[in-house]
Amino acid sequence: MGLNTFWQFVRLRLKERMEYRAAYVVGVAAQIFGYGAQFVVVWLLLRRFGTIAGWTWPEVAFLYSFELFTYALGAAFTFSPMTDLERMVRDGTFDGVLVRPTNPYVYLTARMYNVGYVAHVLLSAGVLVWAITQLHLAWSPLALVFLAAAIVSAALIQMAAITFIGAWPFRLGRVGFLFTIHYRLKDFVLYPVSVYTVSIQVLLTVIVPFAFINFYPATVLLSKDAGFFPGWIGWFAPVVGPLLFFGAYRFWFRGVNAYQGAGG
Amino acid sequence: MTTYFHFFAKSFKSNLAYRAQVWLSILASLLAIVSQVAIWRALLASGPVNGIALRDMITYVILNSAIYVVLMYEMFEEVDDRLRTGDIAIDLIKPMRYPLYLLADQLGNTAYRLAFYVAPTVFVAALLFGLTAPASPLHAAAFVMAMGIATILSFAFGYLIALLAFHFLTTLHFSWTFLGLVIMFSGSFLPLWFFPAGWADVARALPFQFLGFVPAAIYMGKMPVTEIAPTLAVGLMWIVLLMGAAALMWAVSMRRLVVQGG
Repeated sequence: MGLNTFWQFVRLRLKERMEYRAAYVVGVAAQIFGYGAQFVVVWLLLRRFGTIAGWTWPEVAFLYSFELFTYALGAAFTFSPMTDLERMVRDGTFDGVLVRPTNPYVYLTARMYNVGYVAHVLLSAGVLVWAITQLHLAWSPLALVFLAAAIVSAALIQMAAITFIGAWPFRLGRVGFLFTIHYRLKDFVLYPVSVYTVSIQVLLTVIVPFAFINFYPATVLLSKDAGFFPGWIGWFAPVVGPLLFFGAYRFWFRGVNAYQGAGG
Repeated sequence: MTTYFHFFAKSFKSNLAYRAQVWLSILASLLAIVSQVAIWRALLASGPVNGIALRDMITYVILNSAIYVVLMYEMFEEVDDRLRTGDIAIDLIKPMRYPLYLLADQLGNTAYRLAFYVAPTVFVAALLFGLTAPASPLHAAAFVMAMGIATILSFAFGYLIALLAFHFLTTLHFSWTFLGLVIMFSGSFLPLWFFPAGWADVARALPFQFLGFVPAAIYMGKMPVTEIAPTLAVGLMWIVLLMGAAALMWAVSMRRLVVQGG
């Protein structure tokens, strides 16, 4: 499937949404308010306490918005198809995807590309830019390249996590609860990972490597302490995403290949 | 009355079908508690702030995770769904009062979660981190009442939002806004003690503090005894106010309900 087909799909989705333009705009505003409230609470917390594990408000805002921004980038592709897969497997529509002459993963992520993450992107990009201006970073060319690579890699980690969950409907049937656990685990990295006990730091680095989404890139860019692991671990952030995504993609296809159809 | 009791029992029992979910929901609640306790451990490492010590905050975190689970935040999604599919027409034809049916149905969910999610989560969290006892029998009794107020108030909010959906055919905008207000002003993550003065005044003037801060503060004895009764009275007043508004809206909605599709 070419890039042209993808844009065609995105244009169709946008047209669909714009059918109810006023409702769409109000919805985006309400969503910005809902997510903005989380930023406000963290801001109030740090107004009272100054720092958390040595991180100031602009630094925590950087962590928080980096996570939300890359989530929006990644989840726009994977969230809708992977949450809907459970239903598609149950009612047999997934069979229709398999008989198409395209890669089913590429087809689903393009066809169901979610244009509804506008609120996430506006809010998180706004806060991210604000945090960066507050932090007075020295922007060397290397730092800029690292930032860009870390954003791409983080978006791929976010895609990988959802794709990994999406491989389970073929095996388990119901997977809604896996998403809940996934979000609770991801909540951990909204704060500097160094505040947690060593076992949780290991969990978030090795087993469910969400710390590579925002925490480790931030330790490099903001020159912060990486906690239990040595400081150079942050430099691996740009490669973790592609590797994890590749693994999750393969794992998803193993699920598809095991798929026998729900019958009926 | 027996009709509604059957709805209550039915929604309680239908939850029993998903037993694997119980373990994972407990795990999810525990994960939230673990992360918040770690954050407060870092923030309060150098001693109490505003007279609040780490062990107080641990109790506060555990109580709020319990409060969050019993509140009826999923109700508008259900009504939203039934409005979109048109099933709402069938609900309304049935010889029952729809609001009472909703309440019975939601109370069934709440009772189920209380027994199977909240009790084990609180038990495990208390073993792991330590939970202080209620400040006194009086505070314990007031806490139970405050929990009752929180439950009914969350129903009142959910019901109002569901009714707004009768006009706007979606609840999403309102539920996002509502949850944003809850996140900011309920105190369920950041207690009102730690709010700057202006923000605290706003939070105390709004009803959202009853959905998190008030029950926990009463349990912990962090609210002066003389303030408990007036505070609970204010909570009841909010319930009456919101339910009154909902009754008015219900009357209007029933005259102009549009069911989509056919």
